[in-house]
Amino acid sequence: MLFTEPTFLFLLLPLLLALYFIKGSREHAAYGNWLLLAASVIFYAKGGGAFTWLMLASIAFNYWMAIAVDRADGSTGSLPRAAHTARRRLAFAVTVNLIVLGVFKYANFIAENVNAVLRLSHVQPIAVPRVLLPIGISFFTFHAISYVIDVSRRDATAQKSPVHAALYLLLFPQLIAGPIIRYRDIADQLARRVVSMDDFAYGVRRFVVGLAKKVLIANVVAGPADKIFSLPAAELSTAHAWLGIVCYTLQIYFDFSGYSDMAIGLGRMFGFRFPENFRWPYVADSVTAFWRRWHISLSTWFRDYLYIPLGGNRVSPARRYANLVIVFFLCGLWHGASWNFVIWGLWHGSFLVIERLTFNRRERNARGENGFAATSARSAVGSGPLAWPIWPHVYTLLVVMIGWVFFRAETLAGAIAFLEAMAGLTTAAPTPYTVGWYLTPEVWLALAAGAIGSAPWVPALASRLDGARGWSVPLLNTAALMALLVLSIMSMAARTYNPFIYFRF
Amino acid sequence: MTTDARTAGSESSPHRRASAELAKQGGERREGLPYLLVALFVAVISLPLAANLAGVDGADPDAEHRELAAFPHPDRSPASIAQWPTRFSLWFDDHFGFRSQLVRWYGETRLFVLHVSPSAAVIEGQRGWFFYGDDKSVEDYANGEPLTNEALANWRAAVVRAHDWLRARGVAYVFTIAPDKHVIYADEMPATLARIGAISRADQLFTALQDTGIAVDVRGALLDAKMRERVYQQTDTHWNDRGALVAYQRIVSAVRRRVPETPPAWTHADFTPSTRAIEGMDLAGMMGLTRVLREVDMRLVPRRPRRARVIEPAGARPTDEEGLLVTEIDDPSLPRAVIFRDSFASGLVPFLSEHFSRAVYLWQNDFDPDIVSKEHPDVVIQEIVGRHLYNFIPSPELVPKP
Repeated sequence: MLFTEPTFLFLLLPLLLALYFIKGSREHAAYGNWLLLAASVIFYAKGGGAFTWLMLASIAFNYWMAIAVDRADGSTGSLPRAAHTARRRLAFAVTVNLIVLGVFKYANFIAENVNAVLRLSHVQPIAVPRVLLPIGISFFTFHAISYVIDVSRRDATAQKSPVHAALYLLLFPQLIAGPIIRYRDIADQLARRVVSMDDFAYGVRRFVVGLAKKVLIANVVAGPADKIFSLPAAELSTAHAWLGIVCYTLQIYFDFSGYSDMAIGLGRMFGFRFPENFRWPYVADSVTAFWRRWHISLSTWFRDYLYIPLGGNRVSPARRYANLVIVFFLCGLWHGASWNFVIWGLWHGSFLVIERLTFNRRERNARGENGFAATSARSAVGSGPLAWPIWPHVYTLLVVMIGWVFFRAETLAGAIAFLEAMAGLTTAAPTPYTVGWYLTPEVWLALAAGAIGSAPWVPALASRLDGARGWSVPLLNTAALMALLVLSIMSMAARTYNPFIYFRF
Repeated sequence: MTTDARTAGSESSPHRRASAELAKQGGERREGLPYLLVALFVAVISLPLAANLAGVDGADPDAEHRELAAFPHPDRSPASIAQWPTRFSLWFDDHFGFRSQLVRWYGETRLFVLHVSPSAAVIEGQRGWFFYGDDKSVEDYANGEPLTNEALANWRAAVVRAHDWLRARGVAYVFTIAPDKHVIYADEMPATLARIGAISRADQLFTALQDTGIAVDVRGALLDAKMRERVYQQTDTHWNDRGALVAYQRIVSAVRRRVPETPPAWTHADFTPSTRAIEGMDLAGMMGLTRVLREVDMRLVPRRPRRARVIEPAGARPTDEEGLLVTEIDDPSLPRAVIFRDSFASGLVPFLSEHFSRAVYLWQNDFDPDIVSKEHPDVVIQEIVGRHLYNFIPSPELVPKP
């Protein structure tokens, strides 16, 4: 199920809200958690189907393993032996989680690559049945791994309540597309939380804004992006390619951040405070800074559970850079079982290394060493036009957009052809769909809203207006939110409208 | 020092007391705003379900031209129960409260405010014209993908083989291509769609069949007629009565050359032209604006009664979209016909049926020798819309050798 489906917005959510708050109490314990758990199972089952059983089995496994790790750590036996037992149990839990992820997400990818090598060697390829991908398994697996690791690190105590443990792993706002919530950040909220009217209103605002970002901006620019990325390479002109990548750059940000906003908003409606997942990534002035603003929950997960265990910044610079490349190789692979995603990850990892090698080492040291410290391209140059403040942003956006080509293209050859078109290295055959065809007034409006919404101008303006006396501004704010909501649900309804031109074709 | 500065430190000043009171009142009003926002949000998301529970169905079945999902009634089998949530969700997607109203509002804002077609399958043309944008229509308009020599040879082989097989049985054959609206009204297409080539696939096929005399090209007659009156619907994919009459006259002329006992085609004088405002037609339906857009339907009302009656399916109208439609006239002197057709023949059926004692209309682009063997017609007419030259590949080998 998705937040933008009528079954969720007009059926599950209103019923859930009614049942959740029917008790009239502002503190929701066992009843509320059971209800949320049931709703989360329904939410997942609608799209996940039989894989729901896999998720439930995984929940049971991680619940018991976290308790087992906690017990080993807290045993009264010798400390080294207890630590060894805890480490073994942790390793077992992490390995099983990764195996499940590996089988369902990467088995076909591994088989295709092995078979490609076998064919080159004239050996009979291995027949591997097609494995279906359970929805949300990447997010779910990372939640589970962070849970058992946090317990082993004593950052949190293993959850004794199976309902709370299940709710943490299955909570529907963040289940399918994040943010990746650390157990330690939510443990107390599982047991006790209060929902004030201000909390609920905040949740409504975040949800409505997120819905509008997804439906009114992302879905609109997705139209030209999808069509242009599916054009044959021979028909891809430079203008088309640039329009396509600009649209996709906005699409992926507003789609993903919109979904995160909806997740945060829904969580707040039920008393949960989730961390922010995006912080205006497209205003970053370096790739390093970009990764402190983009999918923050993922980048911090990789920092805390991979980069730092690999040595973090405590190792030699050469080893540090190698670790960065490894982390981003795996980050790319996490996004999808395809070499395109790996290249995307390595592309970003390479620039992180280049920036660390190129930029002012003293400046970095002054800000404090860690693998993801913000650096500035400005420090790499002196004065003159090259020092104009716009260039770091142009450089960063260019690197990011080139990376998105690999992320979006169906094949490596397609990505290369797309980049060649962007660089003006190809001559395109004529196509009936001119650039003007794609640039409808609706797309122009979405591009403008996307450009404005990619920078923190609107929240800055809102903060200034918040200080104004009177109620006209808040009323206008409420009216604007309701207008966005109605426009969004109109668009949602239109997506369910699937007419045929004839009964018989 | 300003007045404000002199009074700034005084807590008892009337100005400060008034400001504080206003701030308190404003704060109290603002404290109510979260309640307002929450109430409005909950009301908006609850209204569709509330409408369903009150018995209001949000669907508009006539608009979508498809079978909408039925409410699932599970039997006691585990499989049925397991499938019930998915099937219920499909039902809810088609029937949630206010759905048709929301779709209409979406269409209206897109079309009238943003001047954008609300449907990816509909192209907004100029001066109130709409065109079908799916099913290779744009490719057909652009003429950028000509038929290969092999494909053209295959088409010629299919048409000639059908002709030869029919001739061996004493059956006449007429092949025609119905032009899409963008062929006749190309000047109303948007400027943002580019024409690449000058030669269309229909041009290629007519040229390839020119020496056979089998094909009937109705485009010239339609382009002439367009100078006098509108010959296609603006909110529909198809020709109107005026355009159908022009095409029908060319087809019947070709039939008469082969089957002389066929009565001559009706002329304009046999009809009273009339116009009526009706709901938007199929393209309006695709945009969810059937009840918003209007079509000026330019009809031809016959001055003398039509004799043909639809006998199969019973009770059907001549223009109904049926896989098999049969009309008959109780006059054995008239010839019999089998017509392989698509939707463009719907406008032709009322005219063509007056010429045949029995006319069997089959909704398919394939030539089917079995039907011909069963019906023993005097003439076979094969009609195909121009854009289908992009996605229909005939199979000459399915026609037995003469």
